[in-house]
Amino acid sequence: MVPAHQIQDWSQRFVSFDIGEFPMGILDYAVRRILRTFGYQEVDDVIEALGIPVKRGN
Amino acid sequence: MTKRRGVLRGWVLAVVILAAIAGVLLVIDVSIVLASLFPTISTALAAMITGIATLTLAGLTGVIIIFNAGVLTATREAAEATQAEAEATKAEADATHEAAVATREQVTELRISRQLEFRPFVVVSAMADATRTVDQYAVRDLTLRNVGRGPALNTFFVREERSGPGTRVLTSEPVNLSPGASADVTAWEQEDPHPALFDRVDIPRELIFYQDQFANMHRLVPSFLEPAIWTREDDEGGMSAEPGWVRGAKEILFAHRPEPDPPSGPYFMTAIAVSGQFGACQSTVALEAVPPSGVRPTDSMRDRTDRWMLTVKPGARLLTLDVLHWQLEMNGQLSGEKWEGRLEPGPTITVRQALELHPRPEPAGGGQIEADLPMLSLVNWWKQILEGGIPVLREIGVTRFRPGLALVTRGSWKQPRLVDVDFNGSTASRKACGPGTSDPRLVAALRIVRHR
Repeated sequence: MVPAHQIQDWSQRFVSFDIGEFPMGILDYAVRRILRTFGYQEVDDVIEALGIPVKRGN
Repeated sequence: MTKRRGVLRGWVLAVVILAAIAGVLLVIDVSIVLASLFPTISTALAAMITGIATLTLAGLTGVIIIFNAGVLTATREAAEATQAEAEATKAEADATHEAAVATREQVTELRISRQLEFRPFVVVSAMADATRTVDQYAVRDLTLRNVGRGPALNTFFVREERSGPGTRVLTSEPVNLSPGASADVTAWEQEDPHPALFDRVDIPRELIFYQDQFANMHRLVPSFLEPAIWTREDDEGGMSAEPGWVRGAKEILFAHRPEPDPPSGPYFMTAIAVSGQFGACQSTVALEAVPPSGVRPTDSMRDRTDRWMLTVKPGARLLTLDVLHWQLEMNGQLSGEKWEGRLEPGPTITVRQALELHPRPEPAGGGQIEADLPMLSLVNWWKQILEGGIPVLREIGVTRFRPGLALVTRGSWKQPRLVDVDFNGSTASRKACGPGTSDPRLVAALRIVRHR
């Protein structure tokens, strides 16, 4: 299923974190946004399969 | 006394009645005796005695009536006395009630008087002529002064002013002001101002909010001497009774929003920018210190970053000791075409990599080649840079950082058109999710539903 539109560039400046934290949540957010850019909606299982803890319901 | 007289009369009446009955019985007995002794005169004597008894009974009845009248009078008088007593009691109760009301009003007056005596009154005693800009935020400096006689708690200032075609709202941090005290505060531009604070519509518009020590909330329009006050009693009406300004002030004070993150430095913003021309589809991971510094990285920062860059990309080389860019050698010279790392003021660490897209079969009728985005390798690369770059930041003295990600989906160098994502190599491989697959994890990936 090829989307008719041009896939848009994507960029995100995230909030700041203490240096001890690994911001795994940003990967969830980023993958979700990109998959939705390609037209996918139900992406939780895919994100988990990529090894990223999922914040359900985003 | 009335009661005693009634009792006495009752006794007298009873004695009279008993005496009369005894008298009648005596007369009857006498008549019976005479009738038996003198039968010749018995008829006349009996009639006479009966007449005497009748008269006696009539007289007795009259006496009883007279006595009853006295008793009724006494009873009526007693009832009237009781009524008078009841009225006196009621009047006494009324007086007590009035005294209680008066006492309550006195207490209220006393409390109001005390609150007035210790009421704060905050004014803007000085304000900068213009709004200035700090780190891309509009700010205005001012001085708040408490000219009232009580402490002003949680005092903050709000100003809405014109900004371009719209408006912006500046809010100062809450301060506590003792009587006569003043504080220099800075009102900062808010990203998400509360909309219901103001009643006035004129721009600019300003408000001062503060609480007194009795938990009353005050809202004052500078230059107007009559503050709106939301008392503790008003507050018992619940949230539904709150006017907008009270709700807004409470939200600012008690659901205090975190301070906005300091803005990013220019190197970070440039690194994640996706506007402009790019040779190839590529992705960028950027990490900057928060707040960022404009100072050039030190030699030790450079050396630590250099060691890490060589592990991330073997074969990468530092461009020069002044230009802290790491690139790959291509055709005898360094080039950032496929990959590039940077260390810039902030410090800001950036790694950019061209994406190796997964091309689709060439269309039979010609046309632009299409390709899929290698999602798994992209995510793994992001993880690698984040997991390696954050410890480097810590080792060069950074305590707080901000990540940034960018994905450029087009390129000017004969790039195929990006049309889909590819999970090749992943356990959730979309390519393997065709009919007949038996891996449950792959089946799970079939839940991907493309929204149309």
